[in-house]
Amino acid sequence: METTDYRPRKRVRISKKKLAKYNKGEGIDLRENSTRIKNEVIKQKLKKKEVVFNKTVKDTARTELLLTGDYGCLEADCGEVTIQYKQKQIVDNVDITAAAKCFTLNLEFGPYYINYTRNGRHLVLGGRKGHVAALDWVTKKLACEINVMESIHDVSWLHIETMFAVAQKDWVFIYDNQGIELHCLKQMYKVTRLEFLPYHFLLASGSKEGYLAWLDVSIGKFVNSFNSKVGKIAVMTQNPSNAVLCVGDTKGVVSMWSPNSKDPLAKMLCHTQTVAACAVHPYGTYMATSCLDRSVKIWDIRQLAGPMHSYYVRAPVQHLSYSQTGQLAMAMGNVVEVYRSSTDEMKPYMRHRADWTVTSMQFCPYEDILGIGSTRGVSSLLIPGSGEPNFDGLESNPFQTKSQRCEAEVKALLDKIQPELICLDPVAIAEVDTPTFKNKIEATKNLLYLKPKNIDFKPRRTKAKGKGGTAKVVKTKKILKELSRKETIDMLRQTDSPSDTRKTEPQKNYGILNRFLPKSNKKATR
Amino acid sequence: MVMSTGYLEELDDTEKDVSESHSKLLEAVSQLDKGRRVKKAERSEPTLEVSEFHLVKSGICDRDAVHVHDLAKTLGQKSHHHEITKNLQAIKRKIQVLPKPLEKPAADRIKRIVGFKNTKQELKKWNAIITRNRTAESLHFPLKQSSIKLDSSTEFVKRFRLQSDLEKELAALEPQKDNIEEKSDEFSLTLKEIIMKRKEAARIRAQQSYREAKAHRQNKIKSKKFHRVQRKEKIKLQLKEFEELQKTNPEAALEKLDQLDKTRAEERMTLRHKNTGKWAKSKQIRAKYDKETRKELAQQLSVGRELTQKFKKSNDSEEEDVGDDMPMQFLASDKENPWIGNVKTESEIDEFVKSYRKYWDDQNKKLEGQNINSKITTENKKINNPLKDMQPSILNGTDAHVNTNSFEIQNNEKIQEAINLNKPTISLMDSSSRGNNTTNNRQPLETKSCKEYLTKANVKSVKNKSYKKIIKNDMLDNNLIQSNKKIKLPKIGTNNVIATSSWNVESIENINTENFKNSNVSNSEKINKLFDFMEEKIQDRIKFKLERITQNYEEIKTNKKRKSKNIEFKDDNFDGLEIQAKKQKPILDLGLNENACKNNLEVNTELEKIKQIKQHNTSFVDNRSNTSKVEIDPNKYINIKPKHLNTDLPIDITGGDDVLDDSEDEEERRNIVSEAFADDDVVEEFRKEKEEEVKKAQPKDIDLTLPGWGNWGGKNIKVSKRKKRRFILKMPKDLPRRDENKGDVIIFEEDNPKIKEHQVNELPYPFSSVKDYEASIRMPIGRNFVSENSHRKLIEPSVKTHMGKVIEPMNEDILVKKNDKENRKFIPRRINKEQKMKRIKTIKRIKTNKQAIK
Repeated sequence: METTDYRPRKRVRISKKKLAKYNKGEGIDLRENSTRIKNEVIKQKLKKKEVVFNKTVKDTARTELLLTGDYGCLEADCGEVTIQYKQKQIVDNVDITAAAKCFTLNLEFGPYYINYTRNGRHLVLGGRKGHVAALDWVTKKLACEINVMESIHDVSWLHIETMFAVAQKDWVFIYDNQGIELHCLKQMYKVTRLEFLPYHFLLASGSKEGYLAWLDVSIGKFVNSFNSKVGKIAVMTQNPSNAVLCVGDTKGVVSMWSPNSKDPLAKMLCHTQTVAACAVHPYGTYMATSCLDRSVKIWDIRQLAGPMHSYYVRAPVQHLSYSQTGQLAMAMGNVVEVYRSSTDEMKPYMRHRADWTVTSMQFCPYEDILGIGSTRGVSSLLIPGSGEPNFDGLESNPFQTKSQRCEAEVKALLDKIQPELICLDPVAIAEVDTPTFKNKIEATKNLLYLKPKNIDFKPRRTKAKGKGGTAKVVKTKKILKELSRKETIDMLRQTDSPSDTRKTEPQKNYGILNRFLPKSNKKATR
Repeated sequence: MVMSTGYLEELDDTEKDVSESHSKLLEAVSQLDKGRRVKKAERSEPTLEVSEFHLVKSGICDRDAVHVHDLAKTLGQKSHHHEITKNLQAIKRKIQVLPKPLEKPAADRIKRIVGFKNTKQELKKWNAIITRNRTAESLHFPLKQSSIKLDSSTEFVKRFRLQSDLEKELAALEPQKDNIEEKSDEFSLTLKEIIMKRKEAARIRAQQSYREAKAHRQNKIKSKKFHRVQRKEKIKLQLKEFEELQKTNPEAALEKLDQLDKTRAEERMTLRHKNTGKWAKSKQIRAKYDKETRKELAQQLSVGRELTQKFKKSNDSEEEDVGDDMPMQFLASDKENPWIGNVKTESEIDEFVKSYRKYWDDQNKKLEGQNINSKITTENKKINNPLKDMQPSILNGTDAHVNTNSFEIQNNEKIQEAINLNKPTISLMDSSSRGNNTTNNRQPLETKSCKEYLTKANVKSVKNKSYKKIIKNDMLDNNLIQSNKKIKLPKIGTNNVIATSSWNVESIENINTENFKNSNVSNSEKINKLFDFMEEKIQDRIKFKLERITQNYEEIKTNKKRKSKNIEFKDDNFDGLEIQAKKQKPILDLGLNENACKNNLEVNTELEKIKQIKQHNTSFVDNRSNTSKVEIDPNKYINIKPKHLNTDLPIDITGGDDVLDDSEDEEERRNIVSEAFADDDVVEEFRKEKEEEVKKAQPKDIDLTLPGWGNWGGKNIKVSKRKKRRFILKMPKDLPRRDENKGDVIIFEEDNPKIKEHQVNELPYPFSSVKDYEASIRMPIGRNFVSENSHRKLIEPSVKTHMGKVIEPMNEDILVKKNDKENRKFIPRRINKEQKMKRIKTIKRIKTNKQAIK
């Protein structure tokens, strides 16, 4: 290297794609002819701020350099497919540490429910017949093992690995990692599903009678609790990007709930029959739902649109789980299949035939592991390329020491998000409340001797972004489509009027039993 | 001099004579002039000295003034006066008359202007630095920092010097200094001095204690007189000081005056003078015997008490809502607590003030009455009365003012509401237009529904010829709207209308027939009549048209081929239709009406084509119809085609073959169940729910009509149209929804009041557009989101100060450009492409020149 070269060190160029990933959209309008900021000094200041923002974007894009790990995957030889590899084959071919992660526990106490901590280090398992165990599953060090002498319906870790919640026969109990009962939550009655919202410190539960409840575990206060009126809540997951609960019901509807309103925020008709399982991608982009009619659908949950993909499988899928890298695991009976998403379809990746029917399933974060709870035990499967290889120590650290844990807990408490902010749009807080603002401006307009402010109310985010037009255009299109459809119907009817006029014979009405009539008859009766 | 006096006397005598006659003459002349009777005012002052500075008679101009040369004339050219005349002339030459000084304000103004200019120029030099500091992202105070730069090692070493030989020798010569420090003497003072000092200290202490005791004693004295005297003395002293100050230092005097005023005001503010005023004292005297005055006094005292009462905030209720049950209980107990309960809330105080005003009003009236009846008033009262009168009147005025204000505000609110309600209709033009669209959309549908009905009625008559039918359809389209209208008009509110305006084509037929069945005979008869009438009309028209068209047709036939014929045909039809389209104006939007006509035309032509095809090949039409029917399936618009995944089949673990059979059975059962519930109208139900939700979310029209207001009241009285128009606030019909184009998704769009509390609802200063403000807060600043460096940069405070360092104001040193070479940074030279090109060009040019020279 030449020492005489004084030129500033050239930094590595950042690809536009990466920049776009971290870019936060267009900045303040400071162009000479269109800016709305009059004061020159402030304009200068804002310009400097914009420069800092741009630099920040670049810096953040540069930090990707530090993400050294990359997830791998199975690659099949010629004439083979990855789906044919058995767990045993994989275990034989991987290093010993990875092989040690694949294990099976044969347990007695009924169907098992499992839950991993957010850093993927600890596992809690609860058997229907009262068996609860918490362990560091990597070292296989058992933290506690108890039998609560009641039926268990779900288990969930709280924000740290020293506390977990167990939904028992009547109430929800909180235990510490030594198995000591810390709390008994009698307001959560006959709970079937538990979810922990880590950033809000909320323990959410769905009950047999359809009650949803949110408990703030940091202050021990119930945020809200009400009847969702969807019947028994058997399917409930959280959307990690906005902390909204997705509840699937028997009518095929997935409804999204926040603790702030007793009505759902949104409802999606996903299937025509009971929703059997529901899983949301960790980035909050996709939602996978399955139904008893053997269909699996993938939805765009940000737009609340879809289905993006619709599949029919050969047996109804009972459990779904997304991994951090976007792999989707489906459990049907005792078969577990993992799918990878390629360009515009899902490709089968792994297949595993468990010994017993799978009753719960979760990908372990930051590990290439899929944990399954079955009727007779718990096992963890190696799914190469399923875990995020780079962990963020400030976010969740799998190798956390005790002091780090304490520190992280305090920090997390300081960064706690209030439950009022749970809504469909997670960045709503960064937006101006335009209606109230408009009202305020209107009020000032009525005041004499007060010059009304000239304010541009146009929001930064337009609603119909990327659609190539506003809702109006879409609507007119829709109207036109409908018009043309009606017209064709009319036209055809007129051409076929003699054939159409033949009378349909009145069918006998069986009331509710009509549904059991053959299809052709049914249409006529309707 | 004697000569001169004699001359003067002579002159005087002659002048006197002259002046007398002259004055007489003047008088006579002035007598002639009757217009001016009043003489101009003259000022004269008898003076002994003749001087230009003395007042002269006005009206006499400058030429009468005595000038120096007049006086000097007498000197003449005489030799002994020569010097004087010379001097005079010299002075005359030298003299430069100063211009008249400007008036003071003008002079001041000029001074100010010049001063301003200069200062401005002077201050300009700071501009650069100030703008730099203002726009700086962060400033570190003190701004002028000594450079922390460390010297390079070579520089540092340079400071040390090797000793020369001479120096070494000198050092050797010099005796080594003892490095022992001199011990400081512990007893620096002599005994006597110490004693003296002690005595001094004791004296001072004693004096201090005396003074303290005296002050204490004086403070303890209860005599008011004593204090008054003292205070007066003090005030006198202060006044004296003030006067002295006024002479010596007027600014300080002003400050002092301010201070004095302030102390007085503070004194008045204290509660000491609650009952020491003249009015209060007189009342006190009379209070012994008079009940009224006692009351008044008590009232006054209570006023004072109330006004000095501390406020208690009344927003407890919110806290209660937010808080737990426990604090609520505490609060309840607090309320019972008499000690805390004593504190009055704002509303109570308001109430009290109101009552106080009322009291003053009454009092005022009474006093007035008293004034009229009896004039027995003390001086105090005389003084006080006007004051009192003033006060309540002012209060009254303000009260009334407030009242009117509040009334106005209420009105305003109402109007504002109304405006707000109306506003969406104005602002959301697109939505209203959308509404139009939908209504337009509906109307063709209506016509269709009726059209169908009528076609059935008219099928026999019309179906014979194709073009005839086309016309008929067109006609029907237009006429049916009219007919619809006719039906609507007589029977508003009956079922028929609802039926005609509903959506579904098939259902309408049903409903129509049902209605015909259900409705009264008279109604159906009427309708039948109407329809019959319409039919006749239509048929007449058709006949008329037919004739026309057949004429056209024949003409066209003779002229052109069949293809071109069709086109012509279209046009002709269109011509014919246009006339009828005019009739529709009141019902339909014209633009879309035409569209509909066109559509119809197209459809009709298509229809014809289809029919032609049908004539040739019926099966083809069937196929086509089938395919189009498949297209109509709404599921196709929503669903994408499901793919089949070849998954593994789970095996039931329970056991052997017989169980397998069972599972098959189970599968079958499941299939049956699934088939049974497959079309269980979940979709329909959901859509209905969505529709309901949409309806619920739509704001409803607000009816502000007051029944019987300005009209007859009672049962079965219709609200007039005017009233409907005026008092029913209409809401925009089709507000855009987020789930509009999303298919089977309902998004409940109630605005979340909880998140609104956290959202910004007012733009901070430099921003006047929402977009800009939102852009300014777009970047996350936490260290979880951005790199550490950027995080630090983003959260850097705009001003940093170092603790314990004196921040001195800027001085002019900052303006001086320091050209220390060390601070200069290396600026890399970058050659732009253009510059490069230029350079290359010049080089080339030079080369070419050289070549040319060669």
